[in-house]
Amino acid sequence: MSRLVVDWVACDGHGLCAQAAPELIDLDDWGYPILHKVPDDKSSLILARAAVEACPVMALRLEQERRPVPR
Amino acid sequence: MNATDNPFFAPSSLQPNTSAAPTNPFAAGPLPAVAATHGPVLLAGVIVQPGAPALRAPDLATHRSWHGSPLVAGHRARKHLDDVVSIARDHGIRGRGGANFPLAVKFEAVAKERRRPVIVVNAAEGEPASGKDLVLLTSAPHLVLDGAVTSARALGAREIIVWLHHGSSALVSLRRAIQERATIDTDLTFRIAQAPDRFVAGQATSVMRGLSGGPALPYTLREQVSSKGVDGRPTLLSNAETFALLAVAVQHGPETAGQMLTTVMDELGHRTVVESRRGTHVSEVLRCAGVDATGLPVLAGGYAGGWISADDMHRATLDDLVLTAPDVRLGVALFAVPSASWCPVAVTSSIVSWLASQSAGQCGPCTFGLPATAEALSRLAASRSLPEDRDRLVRWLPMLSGRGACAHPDGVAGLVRSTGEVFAEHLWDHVNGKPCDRAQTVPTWPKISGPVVTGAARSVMPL
Repeated sequence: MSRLVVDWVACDGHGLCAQAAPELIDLDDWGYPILHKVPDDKSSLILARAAVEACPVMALRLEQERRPVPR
Repeated sequence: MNATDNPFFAPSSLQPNTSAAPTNPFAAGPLPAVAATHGPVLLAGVIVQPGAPALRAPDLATHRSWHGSPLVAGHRARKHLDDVVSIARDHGIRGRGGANFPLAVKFEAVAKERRRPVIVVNAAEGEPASGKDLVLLTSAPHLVLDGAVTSARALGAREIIVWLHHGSSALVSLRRAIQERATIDTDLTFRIAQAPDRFVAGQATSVMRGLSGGPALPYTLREQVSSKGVDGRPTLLSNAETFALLAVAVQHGPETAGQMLTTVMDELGHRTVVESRRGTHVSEVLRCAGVDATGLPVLAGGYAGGWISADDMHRATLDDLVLTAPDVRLGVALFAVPSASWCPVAVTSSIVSWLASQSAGQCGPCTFGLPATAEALSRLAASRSLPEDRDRLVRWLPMLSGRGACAHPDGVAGLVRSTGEVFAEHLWDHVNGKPCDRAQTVPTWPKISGPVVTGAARSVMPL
């Protein structure tokens, strides 16, 4: 299963991802993305890729699966 | 001495108020007092008398007579890796820097890597009120180093780095301890690296970045620290107490499982580091520190922790993760008992304002969300909230969770949420603009003393 991942340090709140994929992404009060829907079918995956493409600072990526991260 | 004999004597009313927070709690001030609820192991020999300050560090020979020796050097040391991992697992040793990550899992992750790893002892105790790592590094540095040495030998590492705050008062004893080992642990090199005086400098990714030549600020983790940490090398990073616990487990055996350190702070800001065991009642820990919290709420887990109500206090025990419902966590194991005369909303507001000022300013939700939350809370504390402040806080709290490179904003959200749960009635009075007759200042707690900051330090984007 794929999911969208934000690099919060890189994200500058341009908001283009939410314009590209409003079905998947909202913006908070400060203009930063809220990922409210996991892309789980073909059409939403296309949207998710468009959102990734739209980000001017490459802060959004589509990841295959989540792995546990020991710190 | 009689006061009049002292030519420099000044009536106390004219003396500056030295009980206010020192400018840098990491650098100055007396050692916290020490005590133990059960027979001490970590602090064995360090406690002279319960409630008195900790003794300074013993020399290496004395330390050896108390605690024995770590894993010996040699090509056979790595054969003991499985033993060390199973001891860490059997003892249930978890990272005591606040995240409680199981040490055995970290060990296994680092052991999988082919390249030679680095050991990092994280002693940058960012939590202003916490004193456990300071006491350990000052009073029992050899115990911490023993744990690091055992880890290094088991994993085949040759370098041990101790990361602690710039100008920490533990530097002297740590340096001396390392010098004493220079001719003994010749297979290893020890290095002390100093972190900036900043709350998030102790966060794992900050440590990695700081030690690799960058700023000590959190970053978005893509590679695991265990495989690509310091300078891209596999890294075992853990808190100072965690290494001491490993040393105790390896050198003393199973009867010491579950020992842990907590810090108790009273309303005057006096701190006591208490050694106790998993499962001990929090009220017993407080009693051991000489603090009577009967009928008082307690701030648990640190400044970015949460409130436990007076009613829940008798049920709260020291557990790995959750102290009490709904979700107050052990965190850095700090218990701060406020004065009954302080307004809890004002205390929370002061803490949140300070935490907001400590944001690294890297991630949007933290950079803008924390100051906005702090401003709304300070209006609330003053019973002068805007009509929309409550709705905003309700909306913002979820926006602060899980949306950053580190959990700094998550901690703030948890604290504010717990304030709403524990002080619901009092909070509604503030929401409704009812004047509060309790003290609006927190005069004695580190970093947040002084009047409540009205308006946060940082300007926020207009809404």
